[in-house]
Parts: sequence; C-alpha cells; structure tokens
Amino acid sequence: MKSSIVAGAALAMSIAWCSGASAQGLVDPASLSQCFLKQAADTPIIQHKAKPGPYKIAFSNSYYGNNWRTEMLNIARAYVTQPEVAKYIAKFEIQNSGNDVAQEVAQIRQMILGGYDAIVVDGASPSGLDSVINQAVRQGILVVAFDNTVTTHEAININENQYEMGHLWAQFLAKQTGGKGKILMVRGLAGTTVDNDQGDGGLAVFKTYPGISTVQVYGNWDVGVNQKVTADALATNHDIAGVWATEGATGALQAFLQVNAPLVPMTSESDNGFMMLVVQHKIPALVIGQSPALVATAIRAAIAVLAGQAVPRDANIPLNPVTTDEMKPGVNYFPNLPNSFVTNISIPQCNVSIPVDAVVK
Amino acid sequence: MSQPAGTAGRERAPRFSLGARFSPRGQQVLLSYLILLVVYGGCIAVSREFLSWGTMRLQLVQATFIGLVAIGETFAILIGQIDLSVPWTITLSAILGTNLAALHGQQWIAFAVVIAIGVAVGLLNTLGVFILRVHSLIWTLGVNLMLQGVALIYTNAAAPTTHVPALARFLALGNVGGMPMAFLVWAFFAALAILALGRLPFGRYVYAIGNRQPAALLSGVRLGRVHALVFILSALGAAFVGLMLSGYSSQAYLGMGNDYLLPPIAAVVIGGTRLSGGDGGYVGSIAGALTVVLLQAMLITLNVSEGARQVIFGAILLALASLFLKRGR
Repeated sequence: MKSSIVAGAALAMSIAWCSGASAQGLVDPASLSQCFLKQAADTPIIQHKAKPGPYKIAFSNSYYGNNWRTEMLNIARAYVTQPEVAKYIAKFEIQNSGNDVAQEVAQIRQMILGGYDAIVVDGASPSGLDSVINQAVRQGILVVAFDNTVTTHEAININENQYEMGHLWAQFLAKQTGGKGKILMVRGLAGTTVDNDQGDGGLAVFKTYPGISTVQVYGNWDVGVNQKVTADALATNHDIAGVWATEGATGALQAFLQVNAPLVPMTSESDNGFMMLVVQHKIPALVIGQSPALVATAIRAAIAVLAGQAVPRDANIPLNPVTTDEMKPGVNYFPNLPNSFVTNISIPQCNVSIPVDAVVK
Repeated sequence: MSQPAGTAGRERAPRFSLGARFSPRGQQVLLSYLILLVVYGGCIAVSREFLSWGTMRLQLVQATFIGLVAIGETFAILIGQIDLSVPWTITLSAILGTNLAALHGQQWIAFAVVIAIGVAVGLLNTLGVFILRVHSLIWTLGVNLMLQGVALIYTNAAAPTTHVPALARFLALGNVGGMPMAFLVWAFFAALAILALGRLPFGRYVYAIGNRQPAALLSGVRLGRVHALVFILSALGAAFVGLMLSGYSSQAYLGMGNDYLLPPIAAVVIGGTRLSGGDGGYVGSIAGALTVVLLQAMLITLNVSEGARQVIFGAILLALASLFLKRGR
C-alpha cells in the first residue's frame, strides 16, 4: 500500500515534469524533432493524414528472457497508463513470441485481423518479418520497429546510434588518457551488427591518436566472460591506460579489482553494478546504454504519426551519456537494486520519464 | 567394441586395480599431461607472463570451474552417458541460492539450495535416462531447457535481488597461503573423485557399466543406484560451481552458466576418457581442464581477431580430441 502511494507520487511528479517540458504534449512537432533524429541526411519523412483517436495499438515482442527485455515490457505497460499518453490510447496489447520468427509472423497476422491502428515491433529477425509487416502496411496499419529493427522500408525504425556510442566512449578515453597509452577494448559478441558498429565507432577515434594502441578482446556482453577475458588480458598487459567496455563491463572492472591492477578510466553501458563500483572507487567513467525506454519512444512515434505528425522513417533517439561525477543514487543508478539492473529507464529528450518503481515489479 | 573379447579382457584387467604403472590407461594419462605441457610451452612462447605465479593463479581459478564440472562429466561419460544439463543447473543454483539467501538473510540457505538442486536435477536425469531409457544426449538437454524455463519463471526474467554469501566469494576469490582457495577446493574434490574411481566399489561399478552394462547387471551391480549417484554427483558439481561463479562475479544472472557446457566435456576428452564409456579416469580430466583454460588464455593474449581465435581454438580441440578418439575405435 505504502509503496503504491510512493509510486503514484513519483508518477504524478514525472508527469508534471513532462507537461512542463512540452505544453503541446506528445504530438508537438518541435518536441518530436528533438526526440526523433534522422539516421541520415536523406532519410525520408513519414507523414499521413490524421486519424481520429484514441488508437488501438498492439506490441509484438520477440524474446523476453533477460533483464533488458523485462524492464522494457514494464516500461511499455507503465508508459501507456501515464495520463498524457493514455488519452490517445483506446487499447494496448502486448504479445511475446520468444525468439521464433514463425511465431512472431503468426502473431502479427492476428494483430492485422484484430483491427489495430498501429503495431509496435521488437523483432526476432531483421528481415524475416518483412513480408507480414508489408502486409500490415497495405491494410493501412502503421508499423514501428525498434531495438531489433527491420529491413523493410514500409516500417518506421527507431533505435540508438551504436556507432556514436562507441565513438563517445573512445573520445572520453582519449581525453582522459591525454591521447596516450594502451586501451583495452572489451567488445561484445563478434559478428553482430551492434558489436561492429560500436567497435568501428571506437576504433575510428583511436586511429586518430598515434599515441594510442588497442588490445581487443570479446566479452560477449556477459559479466562472467568480461571478467575472464579482462583478467587474461591484464595478466599479459600491465600498462592498460583505459578500458573501452560495453554491456557486461561490471565484469571487466571486477577483474581489475580481483588482480589488484591500478584502476583506470572506463566506459560501459548502463549496468547498475558498474555504476555502483565506479562511484565507490572514484573511477572516471562514461556510461551510455541502449535504453529499455526505447519502447516508449516507439509507442510515441506511432501515436504521433497516427495523429498526422511527421517522423523520420529511420530515426535515432538521442543518447544520454553519464559520467561518474554526474551519477546520483536513486536518480540514475540504484544502490538498492540488483547489479544487473539496466539504469537508463528514462529519455528526457523524448519526454519519457518512467518511475523506477514501475520498472521493478 | 570391435576388439576380440580376449584382448579387451586383458586390457581391462589392470583398470580395476589401477595399480599398474604402465597400463594403457597410464599411457593415456601420460599423453594428456604431455599435451598440457606442450600447450603451457606454447603459452610461454606467446608471453613470458605465463611464467609468473600471478598469471597462473588466475588460470587455476578458471580451471577450477571447468574441473569441478568435469568430475561429474567424467563419471557420466565413463558409464556411457553424458550430462548436458550443466549450464542451467549452474544458473538456477546461483540465482535461486543467492536470491533465497537475500530474502531470508541467511548464508547457509545458498548451500542448502546447491544440495537440493543437485539432488533434484540428478534424480530427474536418472528418471529419464535409466528408468524411461531416453538417450542421455536428448534427455539431459531437455532437462537443461526445462531448468532454463524454471529460472525464467522464477525471476520473471527480471534481475533477481541477490545476496552472494561471503563464503562463496571466499571460495572463488580467496587466497590461503598464496594458493587460490578455489584451487584448494578443486584439489580436495579431485582427490575424492580419483579415490572413488580407483579404490571404492563405486569406481568398479562405473567402469563395469561403461564396458558392458548387461555383464555388470549379471554380476550384481545395482545399475539404478550407480546411475543415480553419477547424475546426482554431476548436478551437485554444477550447482556448486554456480555458487562459486556467483562469488567470482559478485552476482547471479540469467545465462551465467552458458559457457560451461562444452569446455568440461572437452576437458574429459583431452583427459583421455573414451566418449563411448568404460575407459579413462579423472586424473586425465585434470590435465584436460588446465589445457582448455590455458588454450583460451593463450588465444586471448595473441590479440588476433575473434574469428581467427575461434578457428584456432576449435582446430586445436579437434586435433587433441582426435588423438584420443582414434584410440577408442
């Protein structure tokens, strides 16, 4: 009872803050253009004739077996009940298909028959859903894909710029090290688009500094693997000046503590455990991560286009970098929550603000 | 199997005593340690750091995780089965143990969970493999999937609140007299495993079942009991490693056991245990576990692309395994 009152108060506060930031609300063009950035200069703009609201929106999610996805689903449920959003929504339904393309195709087909105005998708495959998405669009249904985006040009794609993420991490380390020394890159899963983009973004910066050399290992975005490969790399490299690490960086940092190596500037995605450790050990760090609140921006894009507003067909959401001196307990990291909690649950540029109580249920 | 019964019998005889120094068994173990020596030599050639105790201490901790799982896997393979339910036994034990310990504020609960999961998973595997006669390759993989489902349902796929017991942290990261605690734990259980296989009736039964199950049955071996014991020990080992791993990385999370399916099996094969069962032992698996870990470390040190790294790792494992697989024919 008590906790729900607190949650309600937090919700009310966040809504007050939201409406303060944008008087026009969800579909204000100026506010939309701050949130949805074109992925390229020639990205086409999607704009349709306004439909009268409120709208029926379905969400087809693929996998749901990790922390990020669970937080994302909770955020979706919380976002559509915020009064500002709820007034546009007549019905909101979530379906999970697991990582099974055929299952997700069947689900989206059901959604087409269900007479929804828009379908939001976190896909099980970049191209496997294309035909059913095209079919939905031909029936006059708006499709917005996010996170695991899709290749068909009929859908709106919303994501974060992974190249930019790797780039910002590298720039931070170049500045911290004065452009000199050996950088340990603890990358993600080799061969994936996200790993390539993040890595390319980082290497593009490091290449411009003749004083910087890199050692690259792959931590598979897993804390345990990060810890092992970092410990191995530290055994044979005693002169690491900075660590460019992504998801799972908590393990990389723990490897430093485990072997008593001197602590150096580090980067990470939004791992709660990592943020607690860098604050505790006063390590200069830069945290940027794929936000589970991306789902809220996808829902918002759907509402905006249905209401007749313009949104880029391929849009990036602004990144929210956090350095160690900007980390505040209870605000952008959470000492009373598990290490594996994904901390960036709000996107201020998109007026998406989700109280933490709504995310950990 | 294709050997004439007479020769096989003569070869098998010393295995029951394990006393003979130069039995075929002894030669296989020798080969495993020669491989380990060669791989270690390769590591040193790549970097002198592998001569330092600090580096080797890290490797010993890593080898402990693989080596502990390899105990049960050695038993399972010796009786002609395999246990593929290891990854999610590890994860479930770590998540459930640390979560329940957090909820109740008691460390010992985590250890109780290890035992409960070990016994439960072991019995479940015995049920399918021994009573329902499903091939262990299929059944234990299915159990692995079920355990994954249980873990997902239990956590609701969200980050569970965990309390990693200080003792688990000490077991994984502590040092006693310059030796990593993890390695001492491994040495203790390794000694028990070798003793059990070489000196106790359990060991005799295991080899007997692996060599010819009907013959073992006719000579009065309680097949069900031995199967149950083997699968319970294997699951207990995995569950215990789960707790140690949560101590190692100070958290328990979904998927944390995924890297512990194939390395322990590779360790058993490099250790000279025949995949079809009945021949081998844990002494070789120790060398196998160290070899796998050193190979991984060497490839990380090489600073080559991840693709090249995986190709080299796979090729070396295949080459090593083929050394032994040939002999098994």
